[in-house]
Amino acid sequence: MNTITETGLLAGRTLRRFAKSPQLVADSVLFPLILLFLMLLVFGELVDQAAHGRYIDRLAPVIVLFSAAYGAVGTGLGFFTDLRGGIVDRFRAMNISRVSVLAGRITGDLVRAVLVAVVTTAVAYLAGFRFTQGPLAALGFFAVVALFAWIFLWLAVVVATSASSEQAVSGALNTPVTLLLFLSSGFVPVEQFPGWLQPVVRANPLSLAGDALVGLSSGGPVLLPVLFTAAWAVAATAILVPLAVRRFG
Amino acid sequence: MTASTGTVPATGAAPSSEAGLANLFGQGLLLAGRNIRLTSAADTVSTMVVFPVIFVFGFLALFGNLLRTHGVDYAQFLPPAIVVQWMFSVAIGAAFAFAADRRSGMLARYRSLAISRGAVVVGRMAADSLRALLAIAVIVATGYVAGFRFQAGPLAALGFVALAVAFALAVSAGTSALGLVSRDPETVSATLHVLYLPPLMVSSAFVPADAFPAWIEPFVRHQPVTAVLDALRALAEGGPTAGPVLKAVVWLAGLLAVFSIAAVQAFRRAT
Amino acid sequence: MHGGGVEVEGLRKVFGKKTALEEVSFTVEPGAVVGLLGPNGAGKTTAVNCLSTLLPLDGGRASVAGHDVTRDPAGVRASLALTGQFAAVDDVLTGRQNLVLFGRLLKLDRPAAAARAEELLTAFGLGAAADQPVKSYSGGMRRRLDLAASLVVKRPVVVLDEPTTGLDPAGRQEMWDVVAGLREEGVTLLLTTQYLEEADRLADRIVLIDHGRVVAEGTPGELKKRVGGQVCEVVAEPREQVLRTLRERLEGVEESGGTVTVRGADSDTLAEVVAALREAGIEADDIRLRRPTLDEVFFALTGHRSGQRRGEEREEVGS
Repeated sequence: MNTITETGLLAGRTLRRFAKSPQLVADSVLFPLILLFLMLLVFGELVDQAAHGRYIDRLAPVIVLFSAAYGAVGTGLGFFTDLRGGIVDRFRAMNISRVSVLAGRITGDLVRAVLVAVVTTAVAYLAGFRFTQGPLAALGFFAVVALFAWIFLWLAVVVATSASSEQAVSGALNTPVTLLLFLSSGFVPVEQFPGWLQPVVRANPLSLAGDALVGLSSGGPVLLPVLFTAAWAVAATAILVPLAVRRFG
Repeated sequence: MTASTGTVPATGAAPSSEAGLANLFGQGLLLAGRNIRLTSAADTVSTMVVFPVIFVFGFLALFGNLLRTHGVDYAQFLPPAIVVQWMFSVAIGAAFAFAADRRSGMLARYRSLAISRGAVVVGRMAADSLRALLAIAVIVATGYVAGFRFQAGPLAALGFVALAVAFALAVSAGTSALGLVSRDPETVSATLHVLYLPPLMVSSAFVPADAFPAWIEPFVRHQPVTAVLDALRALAEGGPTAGPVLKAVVWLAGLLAVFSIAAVQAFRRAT
Repeated sequence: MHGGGVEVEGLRKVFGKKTALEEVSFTVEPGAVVGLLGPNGAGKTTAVNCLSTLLPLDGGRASVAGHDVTRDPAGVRASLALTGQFAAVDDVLTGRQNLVLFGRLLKLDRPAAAARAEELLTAFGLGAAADQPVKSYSGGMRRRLDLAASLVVKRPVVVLDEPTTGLDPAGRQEMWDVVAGLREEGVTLLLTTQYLEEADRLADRIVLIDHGRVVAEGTPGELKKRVGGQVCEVVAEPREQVLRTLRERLEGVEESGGTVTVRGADSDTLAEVVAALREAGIEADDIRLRRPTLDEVFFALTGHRSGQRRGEEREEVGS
């Protein structure tokens, strides 16, 4: 078997395992949606008044990104379980290359992240979210989601290869994801943060990718936020991929 | 071997030896001590000290300016909300502990002993109250740094603490009923951590009721979490307190009655 | 005056649609040791939970040391020490802390609770580990501590629910020694077990229970006589020919699980089997005598297989 076939098969396994766990599906789809509706309910009117724009146009993209990052916790736990459970050893014994095992995990979870994003976006439509920039921009929207998910999937793999317990995996991933969410321009506009925090909020990949998604859905600057998001992805690739490969190898 | 016929005589097998307030509180206190010894210090520090501090400052940073444009002094408005949020957290901890005691067989063992029937409950409540008090102290102190003040005197401040603890215990009765029918503390805790968000967020916890869309505003105004928050804020800020406090107490009494029935039912069946 | 026996009469317990116990009756005379023997899901734990007032009865009556479990549950609890199926002790506390806590709960004062803990720790071979947290204990040590915890205050009746399930052979042996010690002291003991060998070793009388019903009762000797001694197991091919050959000369020849067995066997049977196979020109891979398994006891006594091979094998311990 060549690496591409192996990767495809293993990615299929990753996806099937996800689809067959109702708890995992509910957790990764429902929780972000609950958050979407609660935030909209609680802060919708206030932000609409203060920011002269519809809150849902900002909130929905950020929830989509949050669910991608939050889903990476599942990736970390799944990979950790695979490592501990010995299935990775079995793949190795079957002479399946390590590259395929890693690539299968990442590919499967990237597909999953985009699928979850599609579902989340569809539900956000009910709450008033709209694509107004044409079909190509809508495609670009999901491409940016995949780019963003890429960063967190590799982070999850690195964490899984170095953690000592399941609690450690979810702890090490949940905390940064939650922090990034709160310190982003998704819940409240950047200008509403205290001055000293604003640079952090602006540089947050979740804010940047969020700006890109807003541009690609309801309109606004696209090029610069996309480039910044891509820069984050490149930086993450340069640091995390070698780390993951070395830890795993 | 003298395993059974040791130097200690059999205690009287009189049926009444379980009853009485002295047993209830004496044995309850022993079990409270056990519950406290079982919780790890590191865990308590992170869930009851570090996270409340992060939440107070985090929410202030996030929403402080936004709410100021709406005419709300958020440093005064927010701490009661974080207190209520942490009372939920205490209650979820109670559910976790009961489910864990059921899984390990400890609950069955306590129920088979000739000890007061209510001692296990008193032990749980006492330990939970202590956790609640710790969280309240941390949140109020953090709030103080940010600008929160008790403006209605020491008696009202005591009322604030008492009401918050009462809220924690009332909610604990409900969550415990869930914990007692389960043997899986992790799932109970994960489920409750999602379930408590709607009643907390769709209340006057983080924004005033008038900031909600008109269709849901009546619900926000009249649900129990809002009643408790209004009473806590009245006790902290002064002004008319009797009305809101009475409303909150009536709500808590009602919830406690319903939740206790469920919890007692579950407790009687827990093996 | 009741010295502290157990009487169960027509006990019934239903969980939803499932009947866990149906008309169960048995007696444990004061000072006797009775083994409640049955497979997983037979209703042993449910019976124990009813006796120790953890579950209300749905029919029949039961009493411990003269106290009715429904009318006088407090009296029952003051007469009975329960050691449940799980080693219910607190992991993060030490063995000593666990025992002292139970002593204090049962109204010993501080010095008395400490003295009693020390006494039990020594008696149960836990002296060296007394001040280690329980999570460092082996399975056998945990079970012994668990038993010690229920003996902190002396009770006339001791109930042990599957005391050795999940233990390794060494741990099982240690537990047996402890129980044998209790027995010598004249404590009334009711123990549940899935192991015939365990019931045989520890109990004066065995109550065989399956699907919530008592299916047989008697001393180990009586039951074994009814089962007919040991089982001779023959591993040889071709199977059909072996069966035919042996059936010509012996009673109780059966085929089960890929081997041919002869019930009611002794050393004469063994000689007979060897001779028969030699005459038929069959070379056996293995011939041996062993004790009958629980399944074989069930089959011999009731004519049907025990509940264990049905799908519903999990012992329902909860609601």
